[in-house]
Amino acid sequence: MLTAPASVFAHAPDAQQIERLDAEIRVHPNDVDLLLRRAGVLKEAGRPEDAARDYEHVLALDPHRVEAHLGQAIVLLDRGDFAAAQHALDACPQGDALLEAQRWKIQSEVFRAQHFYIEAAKALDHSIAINPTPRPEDYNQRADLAMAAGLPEEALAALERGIAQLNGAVALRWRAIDIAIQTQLTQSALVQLDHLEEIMPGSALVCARRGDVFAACGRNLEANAAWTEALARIESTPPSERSPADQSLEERLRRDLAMETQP
Amino acid sequence: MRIIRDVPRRTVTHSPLGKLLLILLFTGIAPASSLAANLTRGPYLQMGKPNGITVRWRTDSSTNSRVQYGLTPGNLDHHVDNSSQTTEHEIAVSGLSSNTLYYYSVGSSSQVLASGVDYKFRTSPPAGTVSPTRIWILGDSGETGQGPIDVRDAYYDYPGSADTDLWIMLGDNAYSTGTDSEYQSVVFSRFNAFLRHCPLWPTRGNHDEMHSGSNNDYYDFFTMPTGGQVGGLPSGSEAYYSFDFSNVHFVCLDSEGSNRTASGPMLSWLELDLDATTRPWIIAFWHHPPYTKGSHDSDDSGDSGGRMRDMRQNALPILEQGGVDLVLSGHSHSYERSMLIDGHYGTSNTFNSSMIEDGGDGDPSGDGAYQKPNSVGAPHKGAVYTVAGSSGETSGGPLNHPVMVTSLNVMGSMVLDVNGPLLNAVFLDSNGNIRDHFQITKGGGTDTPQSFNSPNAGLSLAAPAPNPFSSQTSFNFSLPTAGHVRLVVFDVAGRLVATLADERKSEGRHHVEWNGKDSAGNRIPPGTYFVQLEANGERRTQKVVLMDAARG
Repeated sequence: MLTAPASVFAHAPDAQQIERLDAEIRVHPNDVDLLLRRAGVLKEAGRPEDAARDYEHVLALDPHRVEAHLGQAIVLLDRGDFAAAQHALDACPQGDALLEAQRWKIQSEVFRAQHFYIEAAKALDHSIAINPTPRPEDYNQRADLAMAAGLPEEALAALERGIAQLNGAVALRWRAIDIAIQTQLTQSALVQLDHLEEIMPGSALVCARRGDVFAACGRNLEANAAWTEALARIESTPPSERSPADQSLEERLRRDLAMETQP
Repeated sequence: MRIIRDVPRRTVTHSPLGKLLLILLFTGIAPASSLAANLTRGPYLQMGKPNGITVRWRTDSSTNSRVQYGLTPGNLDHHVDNSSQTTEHEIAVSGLSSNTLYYYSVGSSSQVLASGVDYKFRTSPPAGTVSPTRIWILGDSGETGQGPIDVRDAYYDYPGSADTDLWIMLGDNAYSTGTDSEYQSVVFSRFNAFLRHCPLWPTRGNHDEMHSGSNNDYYDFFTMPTGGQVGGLPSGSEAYYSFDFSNVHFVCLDSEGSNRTASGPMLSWLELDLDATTRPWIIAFWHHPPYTKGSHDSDDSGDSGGRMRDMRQNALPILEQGGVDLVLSGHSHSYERSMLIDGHYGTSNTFNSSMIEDGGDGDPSGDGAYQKPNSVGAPHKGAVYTVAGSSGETSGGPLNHPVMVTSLNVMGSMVLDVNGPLLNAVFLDSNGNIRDHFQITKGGGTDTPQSFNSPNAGLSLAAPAPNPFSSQTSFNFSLPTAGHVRLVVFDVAGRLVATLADERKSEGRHHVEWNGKDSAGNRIPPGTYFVQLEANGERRTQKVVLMDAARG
């Protein structure tokens, strides 16, 4: 297969890259790698229809090129043509694990866009299961789908799986606390906070969050105690060792505690 | 961190003998370690920390893995094995002493593939202690041709490069799509000698694309601390992570492929991570610059899919609230460096004087170093933003972003030295010339705090007295054991000015005086200098200020 010189068009902004790819493709009109690369840049540059034409061209040359099927499905999904996007996915041959994971993720997006949250969740579960390197974003998205379906426990379970799979990713723990507060699943939030306390010992932020959890379910005395403890943690830290975030947290806690003590 | 695979999927061409051996291997007749393998990549170092380091390498046929290590190259008396058969070898060495020089070899249980005096690493200083730290920064270096080699060699020739503690690649590390063969050529082969003794911390650019299959993309090549193993909090992602070295907290973000919204996992993690750190310096890096008018335009939300805008609008408020001091990026193939600013999250036409914390050039020989209020990060006290994407080529552009005090269409790399309360940064061009220089100090800093030195080490270098001085100052130092001592003076650009001692000395206290003259006997210009004591593989540094003789 003919290929273009390695870095002729590598570094320019989108418009220049497209111009250079255009020139290369004029010389090598059937180079599917060049066409796929131009499609990617066109999509990035906000020209999805032109990208779709390149994907179609690739598929005419090589109907089994998985990346072209997937690219086409994304363009159709973004256009809101869900039936056509589904058709593109159905026509896509099986790729390797990463491409399969990507295919199921796009499938999940197609379902989600049509508000079929349960189906979207199942597709995303499958994507995560076969993906050699799932990311925090995947589990976060999975929790979003469960929440959209009105299933907070399932959202928390998805985040738990992510935390276990991804070395205790703290962003997923924090999200789980948010959901637990929102849905008053107090015990779940407290368990997550215990885990955070282990890796952020003495953190005023974690302690203050514990107060937020108690406050959300009306346990005001415990909330007050947790906020007071958080404030004490900040005050007992030498100023030179306080994190910048401690300063804004201190202001917030003083404000909250003042409100709590007002008659 | 896709580590050792039992059966690599990469296709390997085997000789007839190799095929026979493979048949024997898979039929269980011959042990795998009896196969002679050749080293095809590395070794290279990852995830350096006070008590361990990760060593990786590639072989042309599958073997088990062994790293041998010890305190001298001739006595590698410890080893770590992995019995899995693989071509992609990754061994985490743990249980090491901090701030200690180790030598190592790589190979299998039956074969040493690489060893010698160049195969060495120094473990990081103990957590929470302060030690002079040298960092090398390359951006968009993945071009072929002579230019990037000149950039590399300029740094190799730069004072102190042999003692680089860590280096950072700012993305677009291998053009044009970051394939295995491209990485092999412009990263692993080009920097082979450096990779074997200095841990690399990379971020991903838009050209470090994902490739399907195994062992052939950015995330396969590198091992990142997804679980907070090197300090910082667990991100759960190889795309963004943090780590500590000495008194610096480093944050790597992913501007290319991760969710960049303020409520997404990456920036939620960032907020917690910054809350948890107590390191006084915070340096963040990623690929797409929040401010640039080089070959990319950060004002154009259509440029690079809006990634520059997203990082500026969403990541910067969190970083500045968290007390970030320096932000490093690439993408534009130029060097652009800002004044000390805070709170600029819009396009360049919204930049105004209220966002300027210090509008000077930060150059100690110009407007003076940028001052930040105390030794621990404080929110919204200003950060310096750099685009250092010209390590591979230059691509021009208007180079007129209003936050910048320096904008150059020049190839080069950045060199950072963090010494206690002082951060010294230079842009080194491909001819070895310093083209930009700035400093940030904390705590008002012309004094030299004791924290420049590791508090629990036997080797010590006391603060010079008098300091500042005009005619003569003296240095007192103490050696825990007898040995060869080197006491040298560098200028702020890292150039060697004078050698005050280079000889064997006995254990105990010593005293050396300096009259402010260079090695040729000429009086050097007034200014700030660094005195570095080196003995038994350890270093201690102090700052000294030479005043004009007439004022003394």
